[in-house]
Amino acid sequence: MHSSVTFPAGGAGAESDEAELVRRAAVDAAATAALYQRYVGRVYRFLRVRCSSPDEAADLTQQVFLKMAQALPRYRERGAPFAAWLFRIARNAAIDHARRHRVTVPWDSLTQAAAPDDVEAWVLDRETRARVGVLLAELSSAERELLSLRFAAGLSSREIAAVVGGSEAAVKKRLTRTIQRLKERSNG
Amino acid sequence: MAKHVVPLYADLIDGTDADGQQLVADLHAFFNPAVPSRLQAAPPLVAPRAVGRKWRWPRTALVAALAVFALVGATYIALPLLQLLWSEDRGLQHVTQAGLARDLNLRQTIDGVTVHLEKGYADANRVAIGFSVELPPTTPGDDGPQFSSAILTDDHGNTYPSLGFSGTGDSPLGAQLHNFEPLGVTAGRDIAFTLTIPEVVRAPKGGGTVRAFRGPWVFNFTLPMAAARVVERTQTFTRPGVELTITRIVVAPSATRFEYRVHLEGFTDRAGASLMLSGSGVGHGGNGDVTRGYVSPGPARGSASSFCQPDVECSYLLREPLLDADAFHADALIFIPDNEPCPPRQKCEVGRDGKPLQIRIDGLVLPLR
Repeated sequence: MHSSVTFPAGGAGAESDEAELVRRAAVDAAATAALYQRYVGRVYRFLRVRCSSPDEAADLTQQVFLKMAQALPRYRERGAPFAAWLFRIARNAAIDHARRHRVTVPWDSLTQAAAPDDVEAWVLDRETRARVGVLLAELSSAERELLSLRFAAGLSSREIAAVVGGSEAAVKKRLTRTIQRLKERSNG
Repeated sequence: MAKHVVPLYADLIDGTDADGQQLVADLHAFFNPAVPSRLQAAPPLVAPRAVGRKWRWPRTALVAALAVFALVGATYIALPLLQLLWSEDRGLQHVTQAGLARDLNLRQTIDGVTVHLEKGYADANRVAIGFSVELPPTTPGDDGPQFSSAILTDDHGNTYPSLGFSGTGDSPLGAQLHNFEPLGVTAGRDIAFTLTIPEVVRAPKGGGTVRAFRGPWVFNFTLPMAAARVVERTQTFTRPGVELTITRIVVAPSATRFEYRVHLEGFTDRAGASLMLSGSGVGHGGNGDVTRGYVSPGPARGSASSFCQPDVECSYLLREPLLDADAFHADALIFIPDNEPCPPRQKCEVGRDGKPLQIRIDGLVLPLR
């Protein structure tokens, strides 16, 4: 299976390439397809922890890209990178979805249902996920969102700041503190 | 434990903190479940064209159009929208001027939604189908662009993969232009096609609920397969540690397809690679125009991956008529994902953070005869 592509974050060349791709995507099918392929995995993973099933997350991911396609002709880069703009759409879609469906996802239930080719590794993976899920359940929703934007969406602190508001330094500080707290609880 | 991901989070943990490294590796694993294959195989979604911004009705024409709308209904307004989409594609503009496109004029209404299949064209590089859709009237604030998936099959049971679509931003009246990859069909004969549109989706501008209108709308029609020119001349372009080989060029009236593969010395992590032949090149048509290329994320037929991988046959589709051109001038970009180092002996362009971004091969000259 094809693994999703992670777009390089933070580089000048990356930004200019992406800006060109975004500019074309407003009028060019192939460029839009390229954007979709670049981000579909990251958007899905960001939404997965906010949905009760993989299918629900996949449906919501498709809706995010429909909205992206709808809004692309109006997209203007004003300091916020494209990734931050896209994940603002995804975040709003997730909020709307939760409001409509009253979704409450138990964080310790987000385990993989992959076929266990290697039973030992699979069991270890399940245990790790369950343990991480319990740790995350103790965090505030804002802290969990920061972690999902970093670890699932693959955004930099600067991009996260553009999604949720605030400064890059503040986001980085909160992420560092949250990880420190998780580490202490994990060891405790 | 996937410790190889730890460098991705070097700004959050101390490099000597083993517990911290373990935690970020666990968090990474937790937040990165497998992506469903149906998402990765989904046909590309395409932005609606900014029709209103580019094209202005003269005042008198607008008044006349509104009068026509009031007299004969909304359906016929969609026709110019499709013509606009069709004519903005230079390849399809060319086939229309050459008299190669076929008017289909088939119409079907289901639950108040009318799909009007208007135009079709086929050659060795793509099959293009244009249709308009009339949706029920919307309430204020609920309108927005429309999208559809479309499935093209033929009477031999072949299903033609999507190459993407474009659509107008108007609702309830809209038009869509879908492109499909032909499956090695022979030029010069008529193909009996079936186009199935399972549903039409309207995405409200205000971010409200996406509404799906269920079909399916099914149309049967035939299209002639226009002739193409094939250039079977292998050309290899090398830079230290990288080799780009163009194996075949198919020059058709609506588009030009470049089939190629890339070899990256020492680059073994194929799962992490993403390659594209970028459209930074230019082609010199017979009329002297300089043409921008198109990014082509899709591989050549027969490959299951979405992006071109090392040593795999891929294709680059330029939707530009180059039948009169002697050569195509292009640059190649090979993108490096952010968690991969620049492969040995290769010269990568790097970003501000020093990470490798891409390998570039400029100045390709590809003969078209």
